[in-house]
Amino acid sequence: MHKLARNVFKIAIAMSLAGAVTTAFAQLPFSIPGLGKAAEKVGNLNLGSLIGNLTAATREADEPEEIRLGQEFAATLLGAKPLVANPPLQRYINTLGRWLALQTERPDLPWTFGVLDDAGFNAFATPGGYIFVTRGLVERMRSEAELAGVLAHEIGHVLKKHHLRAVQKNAGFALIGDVLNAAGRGNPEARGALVNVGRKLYASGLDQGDEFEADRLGVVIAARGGFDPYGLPAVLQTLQAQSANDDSFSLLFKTHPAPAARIEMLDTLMKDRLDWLPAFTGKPLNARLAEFRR
Amino acid sequence: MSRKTMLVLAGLLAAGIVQAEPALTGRATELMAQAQSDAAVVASLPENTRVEVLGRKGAWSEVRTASGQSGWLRMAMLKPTNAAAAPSSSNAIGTLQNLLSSGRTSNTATVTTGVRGLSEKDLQNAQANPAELEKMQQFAVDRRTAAGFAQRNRLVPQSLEELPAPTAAPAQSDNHMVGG
Repeated sequence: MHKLARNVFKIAIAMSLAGAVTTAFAQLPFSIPGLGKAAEKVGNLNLGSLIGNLTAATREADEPEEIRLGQEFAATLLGAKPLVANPPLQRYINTLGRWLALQTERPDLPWTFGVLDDAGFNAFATPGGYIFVTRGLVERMRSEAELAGVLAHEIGHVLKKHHLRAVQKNAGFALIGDVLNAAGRGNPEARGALVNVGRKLYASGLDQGDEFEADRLGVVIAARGGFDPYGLPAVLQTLQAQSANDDSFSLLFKTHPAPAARIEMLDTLMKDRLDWLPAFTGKPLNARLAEFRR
Repeated sequence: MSRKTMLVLAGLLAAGIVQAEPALTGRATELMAQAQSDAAVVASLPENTRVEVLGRKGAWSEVRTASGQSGWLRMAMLKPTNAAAAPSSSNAIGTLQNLLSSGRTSNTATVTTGVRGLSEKDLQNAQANPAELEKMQQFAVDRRTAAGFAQRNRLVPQSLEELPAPTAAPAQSDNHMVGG
C-alpha cells in the first residue's frame, strides 16, 4: 500500500475502533474487562495521539486470535457475496486447497476454501486459513494447475500473515485484541468495528511487496503439490491481456501490482530451474464436479 | 473492434472456446522446434512479432506466426497485443479517492465484458454473514481426504525451497532445490 493510502487506512481503522470502543463504553452501564480500560484511554485522546498510541501498542497476535480475526473477515467477505450453491464445487475446492496447504509449514490451520458467487475475477485470503476465489475466476481457468497456482498464492498470504500484519502495523494489535474479545462476547459495536477494518483492508489491498512474495510462494507451493509450477504465471499472462477498466477485473487490478511486473519477477527467478519438476496440469473442471458429486 | 465484437469475444473466452489467442513477442527471441532450450531453432523472431498462441506446456507456449511457422517459445517472451492498454500498477491517488468516496454510487468505469465483479462498493456495504461462514466450514476437509485426492491423481509431494526475493537473490546453485 502506498504511504499516503496507508495513513488514510490507519486513520480509518483508528476511527472505527475508537468509535466502537467509546460508543460501547457510553452505552454500557458497567465496564467490560479488557475493553473498559481501552475505552477510557481512547475517549480522552485526540485522533493524532490516538494513532501514535495504537501504533506503539504492538504485540503479536497468537494463533487463536489470528484465526478469530480471519473468521470475522471471512464473514464480511461472505456478506459481500455468498457461496456458489454448488456443494460438489465447494467440496472440490476444499480438497484441492487442503492438499496444497499440506505442503506448507502450517498444515494444520483450519484451512477452509470457498467459491464466491460472483462473476468477477478475484481471490482473497483471511488470517488463519480462510480462502476465497470467485466463480468468474474458476470459470476462466484454463487448467487445474492454474487454479492451484491461484490458491497457492492465497495460501502464501496466510503463511506469511500478510493481512494480519497489515492490521497490526496500522492499528497495533493490543487494541484489536481487546475488540476481538469484546466481539467474541457479542458486543455489537466491537463486531461492527471489525467489519469496518475488514472492508477497508480488502478494498485497499496489501503492500505490493506482499503480493510479490505471495507469487513466489504460489509457484513453489503448487509445485510442491505436484502441479505445473507455471500455472500461476499463466494466470498472470491472462490478466496482462485484460483491461483494468473491465469491471470484472477492476478490484483485482486496483489492489495488485501490474501483471507484467509480476510475470517479470517470476520469470527472473524461475528461469529454467523448475523445468525438471513433474508438471501435472490437472483434470477439467467438469470431470472434477462429477467426481465430487457424491 | 466494435463493442459488440468485444462482448462476443469475451463470452467465448469465458467459455474457453477460443483456442488460439493473439500475442506479440516482448523481445527478439528464437522459435524452437520443441518445448526445450536445446531444441532446433525454427526461426528468429524480432520484437513485436505477432503470433497466435495455440497452447502451453510448462514454461513454454506453442505459437504460429503469420507466415505459418509453428514452434515453441518461453511463455514469458509473450505480451498481449493490447500491451499499451494494459493497466499500470495500482495508484495511490485512485486508492485514496476510493477510500474517501465510500457510499458513492456512481460508477464511471468502462464496461467491456458487461460483467460487473465484486466491487469496492460491495465490500463497503457488506454486512458480516456468520451463517454463510458456518456453511463454508462444513465443506472443509481433513488431511486424509486431501491425501486421498492426491493419491488418486498420482500427485507426489516435491521437496522445494522457497524462491528468494529478487533483491536479496544470491547466485543460485543447482543444488539449491532438491528433487523429491
